[in-house]
Amino acid sequence: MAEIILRRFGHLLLTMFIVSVTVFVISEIVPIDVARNILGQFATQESIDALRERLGLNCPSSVRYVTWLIGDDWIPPARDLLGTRALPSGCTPEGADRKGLFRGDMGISTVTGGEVRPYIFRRLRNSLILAGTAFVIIMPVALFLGVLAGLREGGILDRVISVLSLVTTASPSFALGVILVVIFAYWLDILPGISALTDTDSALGSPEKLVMPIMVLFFAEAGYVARMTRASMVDVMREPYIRTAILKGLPRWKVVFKHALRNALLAPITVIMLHINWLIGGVVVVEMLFGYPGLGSAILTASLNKDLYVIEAGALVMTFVAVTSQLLADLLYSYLNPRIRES
Amino acid sequence: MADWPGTDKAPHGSGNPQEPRPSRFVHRVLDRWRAFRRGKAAYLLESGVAKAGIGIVLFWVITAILAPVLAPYGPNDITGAFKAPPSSAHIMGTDLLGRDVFSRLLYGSRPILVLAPLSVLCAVAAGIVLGLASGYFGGRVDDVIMRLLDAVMAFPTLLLYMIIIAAVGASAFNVIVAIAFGGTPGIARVVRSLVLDVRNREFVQAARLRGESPLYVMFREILPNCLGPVVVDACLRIGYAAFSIGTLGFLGLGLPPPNPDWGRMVAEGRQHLTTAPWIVLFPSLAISTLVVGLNLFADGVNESAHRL
Repeated sequence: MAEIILRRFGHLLLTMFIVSVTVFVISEIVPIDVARNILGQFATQESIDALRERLGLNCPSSVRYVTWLIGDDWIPPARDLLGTRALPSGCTPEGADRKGLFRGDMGISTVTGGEVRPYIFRRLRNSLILAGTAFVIIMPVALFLGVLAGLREGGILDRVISVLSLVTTASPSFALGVILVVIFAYWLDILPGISALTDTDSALGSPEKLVMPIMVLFFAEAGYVARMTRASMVDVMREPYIRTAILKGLPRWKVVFKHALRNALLAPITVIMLHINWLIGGVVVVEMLFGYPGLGSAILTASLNKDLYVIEAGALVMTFVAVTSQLLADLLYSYLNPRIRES
Repeated sequence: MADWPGTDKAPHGSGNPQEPRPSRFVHRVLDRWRAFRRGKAAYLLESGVAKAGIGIVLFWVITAILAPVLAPYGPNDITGAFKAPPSSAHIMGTDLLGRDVFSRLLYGSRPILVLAPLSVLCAVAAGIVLGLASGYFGGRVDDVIMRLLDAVMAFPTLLLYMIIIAAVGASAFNVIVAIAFGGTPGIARVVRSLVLDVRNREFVQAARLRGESPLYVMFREILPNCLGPVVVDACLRIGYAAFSIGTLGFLGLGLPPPNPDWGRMVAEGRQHLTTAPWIVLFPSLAISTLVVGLNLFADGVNESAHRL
């Protein structure tokens, strides 16, 4: 078991390495004048050159990648110690004071000039509040609906739940969101259609702003989980041991709760965890739709502004969340499934 | 093939521990394909769900073809007041610039119906190459390709799209690239598992023994025997591609303006949702029906295949 976890952890590091290199490479394909981005259109050439020098933009991208990882505050002392020839010169930014990612420094935003780390973590906190609340609400309801539909395959309840979940899952979440906003914020006028927060606000301070985003996520996600649960439940209810239980005269609730549910919920629980990638995508869209300041909208805004270090940090954090959740799913599955646990 | 007289190899799948056992998934896909071949097109229409799906998709295809005939105005013509509510002149109202929402809606069906299949096609091409190489050569090649694909798969798809398109800019071509990139790993995995099933068959060994190049064996001997399930799998992915194209448009990463694009129409009108809901409501309904149609169709086909 420990070996599996270690290996998966190795994969996680490998994936994050590939992601970080990919983002760097992709952003190198398109030359962007970051210095002009910050200073604006009317800056003089000298001030742009000075800023490029200060940000270390004149370095080759490979050097920039390495300094982003391990920082550059060690370069001046090292140079004093070893002499200038020992280290690449010319592209060390003057104010060499970054600690690098390995020491928890995510760099500065090339658009706002602010520190990336507090920004990313504030956004991550908001996203986790939204996604976490949604997850806690969606999953029990979706599992319940799925079990309900799967109990009587082909019944009216089954058909209604199946068709509804197919339609809501297939619709893009932004379209679903718009339809819901038109209903609840425009016609009924009972919920806010925008969920913008200031930098210092916590989403928990104004829970009414979370209602619409969670509702959209619910419709986008619950259908999928319900369908999985239904399929699994239908399979289990066809098993011979269920027939045996029914025929030996057990009450129906006992058959369902004691015999069917345990096996039926095994598959959906892993699927739910594997579905977190999907949930992250849904959260991005919902954040954009409601102007909610989460991690997804941070990455999207950064992508549109070519704010490299924010994209890097955001992508790494998101990948970490995604891969870790997959790892947890595997562990949970092997814990729940005795056949794997024993071997 | 194992029953051919004169072959002294052990029959396929019996007693040879080296033989990779085809997974349940492969069997499912193969079943689906055989069912498809047996029943031809008629069986597709067997399920009511599939019929409804085909109906919706056909509706949008015809709309896309006839858009110039049906649309009362050009998609980018400014034809009325800003944000005018629905009236007899503009049955779905006008948008922020005074363009007719109905006409833009009709024209907006075109890019999505062209880009979705095209991007799936690109993903299939890339997935076939990677899956063939991975499954045929095995060993190191397999390890490297699969690790890389795993890394791509572990990455939230939408994040992938955002980064690719933000870096290379928003255009029809780049949308195709991004969606193909995101879809390739899944297809490559399917192809790989099919190749593992086929590659030790006698006819492949025969080709290898008569000295054919690996490229010939992969593309002329193995590929034709894997193609069916891959095609069926690809059809199921078109709905997802359409879903993604809509979402990209909404995030401002789709076709550049002023092209009529459903996702972008929603994004542009979002700020005015409470004063002019018709600008966003109709494109939202349009994309929902199209994607639901594609999914219903895929789902119906899938279920019919299981029943056969």
